[in-house]
Amino acid sequence: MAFYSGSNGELLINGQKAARVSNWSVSSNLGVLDTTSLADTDKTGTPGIRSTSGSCSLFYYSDDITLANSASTLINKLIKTKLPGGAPGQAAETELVQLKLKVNDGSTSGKYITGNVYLTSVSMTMAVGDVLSAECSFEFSGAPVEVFL
Amino acid sequence: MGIYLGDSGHVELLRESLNVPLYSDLDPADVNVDRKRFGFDFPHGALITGDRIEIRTRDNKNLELVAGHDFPDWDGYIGVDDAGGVALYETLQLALQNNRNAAIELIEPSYVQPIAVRNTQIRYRCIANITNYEITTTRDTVDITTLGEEFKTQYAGGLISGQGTLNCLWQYEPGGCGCEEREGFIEYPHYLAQLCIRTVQGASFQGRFYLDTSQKDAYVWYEAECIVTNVAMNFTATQPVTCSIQFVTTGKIALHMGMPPAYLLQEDGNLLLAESGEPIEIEST
Repeated sequence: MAFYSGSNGELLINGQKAARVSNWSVSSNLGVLDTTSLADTDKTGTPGIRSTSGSCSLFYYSDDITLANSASTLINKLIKTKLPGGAPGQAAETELVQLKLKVNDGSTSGKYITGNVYLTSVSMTMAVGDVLSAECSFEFSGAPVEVFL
Repeated sequence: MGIYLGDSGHVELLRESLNVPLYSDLDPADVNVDRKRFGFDFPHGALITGDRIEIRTRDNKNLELVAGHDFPDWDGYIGVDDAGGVALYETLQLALQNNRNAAIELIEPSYVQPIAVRNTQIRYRCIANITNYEITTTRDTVDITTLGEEFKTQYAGGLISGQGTLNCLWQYEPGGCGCEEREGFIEYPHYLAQLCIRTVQGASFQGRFYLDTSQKDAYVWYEAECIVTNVAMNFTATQPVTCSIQFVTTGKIALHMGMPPAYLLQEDGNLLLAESGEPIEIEST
């Protein structure tokens, strides 16, 4: 019997392995539509809309060569600057990102859930005694592309 | 292999304060010329016997308090009695003895003088009767272990802090500490107990914690600003009274080698200042 921990975890952003990820989480929900009718003694339902969302934390660091990092890759998918000559309220649209939340189980492909997501929030806090990191939340757009769990 | 013994280490203390001036009025009725003491309104515990203070008039007129002293300010040591009466002294030793016969002659002011009093400390003094001390420096680490790693990784640039304990034989009145070269430049453990409960001016002191002073020009010492956080007095029958003082450091901690800086002094112990206002450092040979 095998258990998995953080040392087996991995996050891929658009197919590229993200570096310095401290955690990821994913949550899938189903809205159940109520079909309970008169004379029923127990609540009944029918499947409604599914939604999948999650979050991840990445340390914000500086790569010696590219001066980039995975945290900034995600941040830049959400935060967009104003269009040149455009109105103050106009900027480029938020980009869709493909995330692969992976568990390395020893097999070649591992276990994973892949989907196209929109980042819904990114927060960074600079604090005394802490390393700068980015807390990202995302929501799947449509059903997951691949699920192998 | 060198082995060093504790007898070549000691602790020096520079009295400090939050440098918050105490503003008050010096009333002629509050000066008792015969008893060489005066009073002014200051929070109880804000001044401690042995403090070096500067009394300055706030109207820039000459301070009418010290006999024969015609300047707007006066700088020296104080002895404070239980009733809050203050006597002025030329030296720390006299202030610690708080013997009114040795106090500076006072005069009665001709009017109510607005004054500002602040602590002015200039030199380190050896703390007497220390039996042992320890100082610990700590570096915070931040866990930056990431997914996929087998071993924990830590960020090495965390914050630095320090803390320590001084264990002393309790002493509250002058009596020497046994080291003749520091005679006259001694602090007593009781001062640290007073510091812990000092009001307004805080409980900080500047400390030098010597590890080795056996070789001239090759001293080794920690230097840091410290805050007294805990003082425990231990009374045991058949044993000397001891006290244990715990402190934490605030700000920078330095580990020095060489000789601590020394400054040129006047005969009365005051610093001789250059035109820039800075003290004149003596070169170590």
